[in-house]
Amino acid sequence: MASTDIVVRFAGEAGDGIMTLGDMFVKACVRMGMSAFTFRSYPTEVRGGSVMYQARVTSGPAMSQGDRPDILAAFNKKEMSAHLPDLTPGGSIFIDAQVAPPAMGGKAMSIPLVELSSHFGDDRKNMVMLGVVARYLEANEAIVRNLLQERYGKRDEALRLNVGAFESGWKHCAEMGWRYGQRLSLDASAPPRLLLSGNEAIALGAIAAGCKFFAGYPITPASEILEYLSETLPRFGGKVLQVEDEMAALAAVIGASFTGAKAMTATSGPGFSLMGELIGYASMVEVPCVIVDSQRVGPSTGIPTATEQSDLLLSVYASHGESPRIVLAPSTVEDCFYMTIEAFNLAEEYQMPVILLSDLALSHRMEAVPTIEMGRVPVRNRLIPDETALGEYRRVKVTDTGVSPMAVPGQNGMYAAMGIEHDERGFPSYTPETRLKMTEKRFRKLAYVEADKFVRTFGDPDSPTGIIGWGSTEGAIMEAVDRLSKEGLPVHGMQLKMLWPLPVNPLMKFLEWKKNVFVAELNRAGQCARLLRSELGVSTKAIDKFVGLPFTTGEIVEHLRGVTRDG
Amino acid sequence: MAEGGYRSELKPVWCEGCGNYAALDALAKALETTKPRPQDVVLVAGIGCGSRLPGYLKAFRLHTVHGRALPAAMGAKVANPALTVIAVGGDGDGLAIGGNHFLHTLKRNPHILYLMTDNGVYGMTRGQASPTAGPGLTTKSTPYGSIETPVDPAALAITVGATFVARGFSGNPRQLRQIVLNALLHKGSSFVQVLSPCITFHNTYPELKQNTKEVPAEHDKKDKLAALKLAWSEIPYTGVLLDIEAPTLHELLDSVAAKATKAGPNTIEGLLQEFV
Repeated sequence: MASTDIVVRFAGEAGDGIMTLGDMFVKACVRMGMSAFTFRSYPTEVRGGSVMYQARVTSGPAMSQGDRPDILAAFNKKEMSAHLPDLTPGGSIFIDAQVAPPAMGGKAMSIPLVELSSHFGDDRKNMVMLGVVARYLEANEAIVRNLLQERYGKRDEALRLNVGAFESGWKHCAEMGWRYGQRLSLDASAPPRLLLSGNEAIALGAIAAGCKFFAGYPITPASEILEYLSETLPRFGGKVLQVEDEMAALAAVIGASFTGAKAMTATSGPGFSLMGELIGYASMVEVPCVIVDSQRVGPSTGIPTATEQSDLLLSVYASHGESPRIVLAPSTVEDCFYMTIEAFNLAEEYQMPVILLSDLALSHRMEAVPTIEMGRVPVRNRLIPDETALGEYRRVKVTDTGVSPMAVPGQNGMYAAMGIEHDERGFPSYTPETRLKMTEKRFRKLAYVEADKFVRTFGDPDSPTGIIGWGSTEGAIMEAVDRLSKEGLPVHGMQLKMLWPLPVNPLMKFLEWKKNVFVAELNRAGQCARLLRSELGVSTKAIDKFVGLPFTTGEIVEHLRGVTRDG
Repeated sequence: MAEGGYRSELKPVWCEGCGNYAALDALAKALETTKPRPQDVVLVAGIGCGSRLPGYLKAFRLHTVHGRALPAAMGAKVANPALTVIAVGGDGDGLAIGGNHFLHTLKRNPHILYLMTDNGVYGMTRGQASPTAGPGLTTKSTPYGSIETPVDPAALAITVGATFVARGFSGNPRQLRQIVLNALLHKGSSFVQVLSPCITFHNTYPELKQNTKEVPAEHDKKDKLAALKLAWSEIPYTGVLLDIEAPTLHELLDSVAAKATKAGPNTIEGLLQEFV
């Protein structure tokens, strides 16, 4: 059977129900056994402004949002004009019948959205469009109907109206005899998969890790973590507080962790900037904590609803002075789940802040994830002292690994967690000897972090051309490497999942005799490239993008193609 | 009860005659009376002269960064409600850099005690004007006199929702001990403003000794408006101004947990199933 790979883009105004439409369409495809990868863009304002939902659905793995939409479903003239240039040549356009269809650029089909939806209350044009597109791609009707039943079944009237609108679109498409040709594939034998966003996966990972305290302040694009945990964490004996600002959030997390609870906060750049001083404090007093930074375009307010990977250097260095911390960067929605458990494990084991770097594209991306294996990343806990053998307890005793057992309030082993430089017992001490000894003790822990296992390599290891990426860009890079290999242009790829400490050994091996190494990242400064230069002394070539959008596979292919040919 | 009381072996770094000594004494005495196990006590502070206080008591101690004692204390209490959690600090720590947390922590009514030693200046940085500095106060940072309206910590605490608000004076240690004891026994957020002169940079002992008056015996501590009137009076009244009952943050979170448990699955597998 030929493989299916279809990119659908829905475009309209805020208030048109584009998100619901996109989510329903994708869910139907995943229920049919397909893979999915989504990308959304939306205005910062709640009403008005453009909303775009791009869904790529494939019979094999879906690793990027797709370079161009094959099908554009536009709700008004402005959106049609804006997105038409992106359309795959010969692609299909669905447009509201009130708008004159475009003269060229693809196969245009007019839908009387207003007329068809008028029988089903207000604002159900999105369900009409769902019916049209689902029929056009020959979706399994029963699966879509089941979804409508699940979503609206609790309210008879809502169910009747939404199903009615859906049916009218489906029927219209059938009557017109429209058919895309390539159809959605139905694999009834495929094991059921989860359709999750990055933020949902992070929140679920936190619960699985045993998180018992979360504090946060609303911010795009991290709010869904606060919202989902507010709804669910209390069922697991956890506490969630929405606090007054991000400093309160991290301070509360540190307070909770001090008492022994696994604790996390989640924010984006503006909030993360505010946390700097407390990150240094947590590192200084060796209190475990997990901080999610879902990056967006900065600085300042930047573009709150657009993506960027520009907080990397801030994550590595945030806070005055010098303080150890661990920085992780998941690449996929599945990573978001397992690596959040890793983040807790590392925070607890090494008693320091762990920063999990997501970004808007990953946090809001929906992917079909195979069933979660609960034991894949076993949960690990912090080292606590043996109460019976406390003796003269030294909270931050200098050890070979730098890790010292951490007493819990309510048990013996009282101590002070002081941001002031302190001796092994935690008492203030400013002598050069103490300063040296304790600073080295805190930093020594980093040497024991198994950074080397946090990489993923792909492509041709014998190629003189390499590409390095980190975070949300993995899928587009892997697809680009795959596409070039099919053109006879081999490239070797490496995705870094831990950025601090760096996975030095695999990196050095990867870089060893490469002629050209590119670092692809969504920022202007080439932050990861700078880190590689400062830590490993290697020079790389930049593939940078900082316009608020993720890479497309095609962009990376274009960058690499010339070099691999010459190389 | 701790052997040899709740005082630690550390000797305070405060100047001789500092108002903080009386606050430390009152807190130590309150602990001796209520007798929690020292390892069940968490003392939380930010930065400043007053924030040094936890070091002089036996307990688990969290010395956070400037201004963040209250959210850290709240986090500790919420995570483990069995602990006795006490936050201490000065008026600069609590009302300037930490002012936002003053409002939001007290309004949530966590069961913690917050002891603020108030001297109108930043003693640790050598005497600049602080949020409670009176108009016209001349300090190194206000060489021509303060041009700001001072904050009244007790009045503020009453309006933002603390359920126990009192004002004490280091020059009246007997009353201060009683106040701090009552504050520690209160269920919910208790706030104690201690008029605690900085002997070195802003010695207000003489005027406070003359001006302070104890809260009249007939004052109704359940009456918020009456409490506010006393707090805002020209006369610096000392004593318990407000003492009311309200559900604590922890109790409220428990009711949230009960609702959440009814609303959906309480296993990871169950949650994941909702995404199929």
